[in-house]
Amino acid sequence: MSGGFDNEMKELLDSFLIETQEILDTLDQDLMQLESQAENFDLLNSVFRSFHTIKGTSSFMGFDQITEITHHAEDILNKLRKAEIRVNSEIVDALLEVYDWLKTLLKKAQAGDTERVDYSKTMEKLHKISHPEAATEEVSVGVPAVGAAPPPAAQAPSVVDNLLADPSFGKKGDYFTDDELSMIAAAFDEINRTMTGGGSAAATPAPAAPAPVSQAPVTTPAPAAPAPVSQVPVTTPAPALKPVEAAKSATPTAIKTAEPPKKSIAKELTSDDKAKAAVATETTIRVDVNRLETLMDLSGELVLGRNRLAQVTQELMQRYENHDFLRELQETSSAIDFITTELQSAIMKTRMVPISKIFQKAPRIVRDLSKEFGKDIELVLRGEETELDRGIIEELNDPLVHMIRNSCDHGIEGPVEREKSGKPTKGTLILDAQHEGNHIVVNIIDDGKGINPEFLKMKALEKGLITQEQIQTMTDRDAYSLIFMPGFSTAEKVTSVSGRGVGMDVVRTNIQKLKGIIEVDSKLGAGTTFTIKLPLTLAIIQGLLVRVQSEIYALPLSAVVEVVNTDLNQIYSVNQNEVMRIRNQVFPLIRMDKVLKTPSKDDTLENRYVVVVGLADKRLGLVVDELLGQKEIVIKSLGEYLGHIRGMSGSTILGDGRVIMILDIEELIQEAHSVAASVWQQQ
Amino acid sequence: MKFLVVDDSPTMRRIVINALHSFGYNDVVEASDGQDALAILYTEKIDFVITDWNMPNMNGLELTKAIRNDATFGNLPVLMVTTRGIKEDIVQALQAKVNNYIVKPFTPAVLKEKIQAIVPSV
Repeated sequence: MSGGFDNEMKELLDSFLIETQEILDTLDQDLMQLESQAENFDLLNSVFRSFHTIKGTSSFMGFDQITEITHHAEDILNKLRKAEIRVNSEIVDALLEVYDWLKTLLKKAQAGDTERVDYSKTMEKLHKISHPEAATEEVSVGVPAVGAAPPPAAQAPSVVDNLLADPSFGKKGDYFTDDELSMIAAAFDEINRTMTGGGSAAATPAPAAPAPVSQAPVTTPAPAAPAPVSQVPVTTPAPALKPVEAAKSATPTAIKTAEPPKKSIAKELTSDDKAKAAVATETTIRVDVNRLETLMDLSGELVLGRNRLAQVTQELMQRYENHDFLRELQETSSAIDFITTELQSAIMKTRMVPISKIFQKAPRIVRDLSKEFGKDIELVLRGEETELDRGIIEELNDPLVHMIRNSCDHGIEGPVEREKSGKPTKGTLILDAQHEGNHIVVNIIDDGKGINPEFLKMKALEKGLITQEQIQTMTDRDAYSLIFMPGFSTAEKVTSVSGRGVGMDVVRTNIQKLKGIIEVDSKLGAGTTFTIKLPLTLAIIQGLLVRVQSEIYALPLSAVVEVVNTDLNQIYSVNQNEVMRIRNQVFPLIRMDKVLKTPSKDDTLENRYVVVVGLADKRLGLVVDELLGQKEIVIKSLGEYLGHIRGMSGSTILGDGRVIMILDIEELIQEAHSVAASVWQQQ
Repeated sequence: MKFLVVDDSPTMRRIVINALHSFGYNDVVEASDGQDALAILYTEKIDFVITDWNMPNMNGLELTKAIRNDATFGNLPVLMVTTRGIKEDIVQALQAKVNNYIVKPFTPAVLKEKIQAIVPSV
C-alpha cells in the first residue's frame, strides 16, 4: 500500500521536475523578449502562465520556497497584465533573478536536497516592484472557505443576481469580508441547485423527479446549506433535465441531428477533431536514451552489412556479366543501400537537437554582462536550427558559454574606447552555426579589440609557460594558441566573469573530447573569430582511408585539416625531429611507417603525402604512402581482448570484409607534441 | 460518473486524477485546455468537469461560459481550480456560473468535499 503511494509520489515528482524544467527552458528567453516587447500581451500571458503553473504544481509537491517566490513573481505579472505597472528592465531583472532561483531550487529538488536557500534580496526587489507605494501591511491571505460560512443575510430570489448587483460587493478592502464570504457561499449553493440538478441526475441511478433536486443541498453532508437559502424558490430545475438526458443517451452524431448546439464554439466537431485534440496534447514522447543508442548500434551493423553486400554484388557483377539474375541482385542491393542510408540518418536525427538549445542561453549572458561592464553589445544568432547530436550538445555547452563570456569581457571594448578607435559604440557578437558536410562549424565572432600576439607571448613568458627560444619561432597563430594553455589568463583584473585562470584550457579539453577542432583568428583592433568544428555524431564517421606500406588505416575526416604533397623545401629538421611549414604555420611531422613499425626500405619523402590533422588548436602532419579516398565508417571498439592500443581509437570493417584500424588523432598529437616540447626543453 | 480534468499542466492533471482515483472515480478523461475539453464534451458523455482557470487557447472561465451556453450539456457541474481566491476571480466565476471553486493547493479531502457538495449522491 505504502509502496503504491511512494510510486505515485515518485511519478508525480518526476512529472513535476520534467514539466518545470520544460517551462524554465523557454522562460528566460520569454522574459528577455518581454523587455523589448512590452506590448505583447500574448507573451505576457505566457510568462504569467509559466510562473502560475510552477506555483500551482509546486504547492502540491511541498516545495514551498518555489511556491513562495513564484507567487511573488506572479503578483508582478498580474499587475503588468492589468497595466498597473509597465515592463522595464528593473522588473525583467527581478524576474530573471526569480528564474535563476527556480533553476537552483529545481536542482535541489531533483537532488532531494531540502535545505532552504536565502533569496530574501530577490524577494525584497519583488516586493518593492509590486508595492511601489510605501509597503502596505501584509494581510494574511484570506482564502474564502465556502464550507465555513455562517447563514447569509440575503434571502432574495436570486442570491447570485443580488450579489452581483450590489455595488459595494467586493469593494471593501483587499479581501472579502466575512459577510461577503457567506454571501458567496450562498451564491454557489444556488448555482449548484439550479445547475447540477441536471448534471448529477445524468449520473445518479434515481434521477428525473424535479422535487428532490431542490432538496439536494439539504442532504449534503457539507455544512454549507444554510436553512434560509434552501427555501429560495427554485425556478429552473425542470427544463434543465432534458438536455442532459439527451447527452447521456446520444451518440455524437445524434447530438448533432437531434439538437444542434447553440452558436457557442460548436464547429462541426467530428471524432477527427477529437483525435486531433488528443494528439495536440502529446506530440512528443520521451524515449530512454539507451534505446536510441541501441538503435544507433544496430544501424551501424546494418551499414557494415550493406557495405559488404555492395562489395559482393560488385564482384559478382564482374565475374558473371549481364546475367539477368544479377541485375536484380544489383537493384535490390542499391535499394537496400538507399534505405540503409535513410534509416541511418533518420535514427541519427532522433538524437539530434538544434543548437538553439545552447544559443538561447546567450542573450541572457550577453545582457547581464553588458550591464555589468557598462558595454553595449548586440548579439546576433545565426543558424540556430542547426542540429547536432545531443551528447555533443551537452559537452559543447560549457565551452561555448565560456567563450561568449570571454568575448564580452576581453573582446569587445567599452563604448568610450570603441569611439576613440573610430568604431560604432555598439559592439557586435555573432554566434553562427552551420553544417559543413558531416560536421558542424560554430563561429564566435566579435568586432572587439582583437588579440595582441606579442602581449600573449610576453604573458606566457612571464608565467614561465614558454621559453625565450620558443618565442623566436612562434607565429601569430602559435601565439593565439597560448590562451589554451592551462594556467594562462590574460585578464588584468579579475572580474566575476573571467580572469580566474580557468577557462580556455577547459574549452580546449572539451573540444578535444569531442574530436573537434578549434581555431583562433584575430586582427588587432578589428576583432576575433573562434571557429569550432565538430563531428555531427561520434558513432558513424566519415573516414579518410590511407595506405601506409601494405596496411590501410582510417583517419576521422573531421580531424583532417588538409592534405598536401610532401614538399621537401618546406620540411626542416629540428633536433632530429622533422617539422613542416605550411603558410607560416609550423607543426611536427610524423612518419606513419615508423610509428606503426612497418618502415619502408627507402627513407625518402618523395611521392608521399602529408595529411595535416588537427585537434582543438594543435596541428600535426602524418606522412602516408597513398590516399585511398573517403568512406563512411562505423566505429567498433577494439573489445576487451585487445584493450587499448596506443594510437588506435577503434576498428572498422570495410566492404570487402577487411578489418582496418582507426587512428587516434588525439594520442598521436599528444605524443608528437610532447616529443617536440622535450626537444625545446633540452635546448 | 465520468470526470473530465482540464489543465495545461500534466502534473496538475496527475494530482487531480490521483485524488479522484483514491475516491474510487476511475473513469477520468483529460484535456490540456478549454478547446480540447469542448472537443471531448461533444464526443463523450461527461458528468463532471474539473478545470483549471489559466490555460492557453481557451481558459477555464471561457470554457465554463461555453458549457453554460450549450443546449445539450449546459448544466454540467463545473468545479474551478484556482490558485488564489482573489475577488475579481470569484466574481467572474460566479458570473460564469461555476458550481464551485477550489483553491490550490488543496487536499484530496477538500476536493472530495467540494465534489460532493455539488453532486451529493456520489
